[in-house]
Amino acid sequence: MKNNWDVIVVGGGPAGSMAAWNSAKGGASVLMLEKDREIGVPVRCGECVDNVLFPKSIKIEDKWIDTTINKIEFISPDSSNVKIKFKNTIGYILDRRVFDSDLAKYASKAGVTIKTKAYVHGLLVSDDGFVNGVKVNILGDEFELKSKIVIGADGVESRIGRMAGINTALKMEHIGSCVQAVVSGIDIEDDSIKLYVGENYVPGGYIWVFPKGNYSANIGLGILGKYSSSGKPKMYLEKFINEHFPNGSITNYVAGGVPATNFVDNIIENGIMLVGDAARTANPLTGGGINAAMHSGEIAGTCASNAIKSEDYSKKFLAEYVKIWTKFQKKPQEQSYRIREFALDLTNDDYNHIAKKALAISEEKRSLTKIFKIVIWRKPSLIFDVIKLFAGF
Amino acid sequence: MIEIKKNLCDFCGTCVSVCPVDCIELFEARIEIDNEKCINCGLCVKVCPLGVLEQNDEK
Ligand SMILES: Cc1cc2nc3c(=O)[nH]c(=O)nc-3n(C[C@H](O)[C@H](O)[C@H](O)COP(=O)(O)OP(=O)(O)OC[C@H]3O[C@@H](n4cnc5c(N)ncnc54)[C@H](O)[C@@H]3O)c2cc1C
Ligand code: SF4
Ligand code: SF4
Repeated sequence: MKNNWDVIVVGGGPAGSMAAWNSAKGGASVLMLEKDREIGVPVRCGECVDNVLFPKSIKIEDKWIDTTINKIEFISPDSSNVKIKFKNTIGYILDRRVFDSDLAKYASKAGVTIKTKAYVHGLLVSDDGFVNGVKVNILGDEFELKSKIVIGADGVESRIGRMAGINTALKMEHIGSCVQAVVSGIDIEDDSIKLYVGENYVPGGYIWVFPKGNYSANIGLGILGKYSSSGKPKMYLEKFINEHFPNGSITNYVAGGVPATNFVDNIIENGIMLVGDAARTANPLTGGGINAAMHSGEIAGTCASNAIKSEDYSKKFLAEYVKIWTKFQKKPQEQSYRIREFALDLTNDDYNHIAKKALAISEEKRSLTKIFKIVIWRKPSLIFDVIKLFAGF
Repeated sequence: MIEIKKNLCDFCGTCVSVCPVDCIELFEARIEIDNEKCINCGLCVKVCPLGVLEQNDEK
């Protein structure tokens, strides 16, 4: 294997593949390193994506889609089901095993070299403080590989950034501690996602039921670190599945962590950029991170290939990535963060009251905006926050 | 000191993301904690979704 590359990408998730692919499209020689044995496995994800926010540069393929969503159901603590129907498709439940692997294949078709079972455990740094390569164990053998730019796409762990002096450690209020089961043999609607809110289901978080087709679903939950304790997510999910799907079979079970921070712009240094979960790009309200990971990877990849052409790998040059990313992501992420903080103050009584009012609106007329209005009336003290939110300051 | 019930770990990285001194390492299906560097803050224990980690008082 070559030991000199323009760009080395660490991590083969959606952020890594997009970064690698877009670097290669711009003419850079690119190596992508993934520590697991197979791209796309294990799937630590509910696999739900918003179809409108999906990157426009990629055409969504049928084989990536398990189900197509046009309804959301909120289930309140007293079990009221508030269903909202949309005229159009609002999202998909993907098959990330196929999707992640196809993104990597697109990248390799554009010239990216991919290695799996390739664990990066250190960075190479030049005398003048530029990151210029990685220390990696590939299938048991140690290598030191040189690069002009390293892209850290190593997900929630985000150790690559830390090796370069960027403090990515998450605080307890900024990590979602999650578990998810694929439950089969259950009778559910395939075009509707269900969200269970209230502390009787899970305190400081929510439960999702996302249909996967064939009488199965991703059923999972996340608890914000500061409300969690050792093994709590597992305990609450077991209780929920036993109560709600006692006849289902669990065919897959994973743990996972989602960053749930406000917008972060401390994501570059000389010779290095962070993307996706490693750059804390996920939505702090929903925990959804696939789309944002892809967008950040796309922007960073393009910036990396420009840097290679200009032979400038300095933090100053790479700031172009942060600038475009900030313009794209800062406002929406800050908004989600504020709504998240607001939602954490709602009690079971609040949720039941909101559900009751929402059910008084006929199903045809029910919309997210109308429900949001009810929420505000329930918590008038928060009106100012909400006005700020919509005014965008 | 942090004790690891290694057979329960799913290698999900949640503990790694909160460790203030970056002393947890995950390589595919292996987890190691560097007890020399660990400051026994207990954050990893608190966020582990599966309850794999246990805190011991003595360092
Ligand atoms: C339980 C759960 C449910 C979720 N549900 C949803 C959902 O429904 N919708 C949604 O949009 N998002 C969801 N998310 C979030 C979503 O999964 C992430 O935001 C997304 O995967 C981020 O992509 P990424 O490429 O940044 O990171 P990842 O997909 O995590 O990829 C990072 C890769 O880097 C590799 N890696 C790490 N360290 C190293 C190293 N040192 N050397 C080599 N390789 C390394 C890892 O093995 C991994 O493959 C969920 C997350 C969890 C945990
Ligand atoms: S958080 Fe728990 S399950 Fe996840 S890697 Fe750490 S010890 Fe293992
Ligand atoms: S106790 Fe604190 S310092 Fe030690 S491994 Fe856990 S998070 Fe890191």
